[in-house]
Amino acid sequence: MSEERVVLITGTSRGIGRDLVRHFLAQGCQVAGCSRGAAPESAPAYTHFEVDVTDEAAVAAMMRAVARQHGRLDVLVNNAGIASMNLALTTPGKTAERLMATNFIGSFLVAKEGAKLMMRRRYGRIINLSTVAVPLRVEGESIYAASKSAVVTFTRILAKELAPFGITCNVVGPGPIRTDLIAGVPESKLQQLLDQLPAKQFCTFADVANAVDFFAKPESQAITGQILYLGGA
Amino acid sequence: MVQGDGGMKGCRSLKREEVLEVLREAVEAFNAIHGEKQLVFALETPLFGSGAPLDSLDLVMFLVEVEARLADRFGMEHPLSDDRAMSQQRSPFRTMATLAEYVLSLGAEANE
Repeated sequence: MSEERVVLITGTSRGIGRDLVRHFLAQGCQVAGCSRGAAPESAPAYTHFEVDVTDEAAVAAMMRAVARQHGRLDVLVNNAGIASMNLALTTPGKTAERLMATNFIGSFLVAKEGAKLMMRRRYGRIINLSTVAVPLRVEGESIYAASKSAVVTFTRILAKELAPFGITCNVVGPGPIRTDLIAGVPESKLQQLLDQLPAKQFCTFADVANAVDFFAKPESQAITGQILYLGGA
Repeated sequence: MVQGDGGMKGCRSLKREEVLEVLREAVEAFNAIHGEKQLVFALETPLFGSGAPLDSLDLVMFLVEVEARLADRFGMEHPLSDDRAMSQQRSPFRTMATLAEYVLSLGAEANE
């Protein structure tokens, strides 16, 4: 059984998730990741699971595999998410269901099963990713922001429920960051969003990793139920 | 792709002795983790409710230990503390014996 920190990250096929895998591997962690597709990384300390985070039984099976392999889980980063920029009046119901399922239900299921593993050692760090679109209330992102708003409320309450088990739960809400998630968003729209932020610039992956590191540290045991929006929102 | 089987499909029928063995192991694991609050493995041991040694958080922790073992040993992935269990008039978590019966009933349903 390894003594390095064991980290599970969802949505690791690309973007922030893939970069977080590399980030934690560079720190010497044992890293597990999941996505609906193939592994983004091939490293001895990385284990990939092809899992749809909305499949409750599959998530539970993945967590049991992590338990068998490492015996514990120290850090969970719920990163898996999808976006759809559309006005509410032109958003199909199916699209809204898909967004809520992946962004919120997926985070809930993985946090629930991950916490079961963490509580056995009375230690854990759960970090859920949201977005500055929540506090900025960006037009055209009502469903996406609502799904990520659900993540925020869920995390705040989960923090209370899991505190007796030594598990902290926090949220990182990045501003716009150059990933596939915003590839289809017009530049004018992005600029409009940036103009609402004091920082008025794109977030970088390093910004996100820095915030995640802060919540993931063992020393952050008293920091729970907090929301850290990047860019100053 | 890791896929769930939706609960317990493929889970073979369980024997009472096997379930009790799982509960005994879960008690040992719970006691090892918990330290100050020790459970005694006996059929009449109250788990939850008046006179029981566990509060709701302890019960969750104990059930997690049971669930993990049922899944690993028998492929039984059904969460024990689901809506149905929590809404039963007589809680299946009253004693070790009622919990064992509840697990057996879930196993039997899966094989119908």
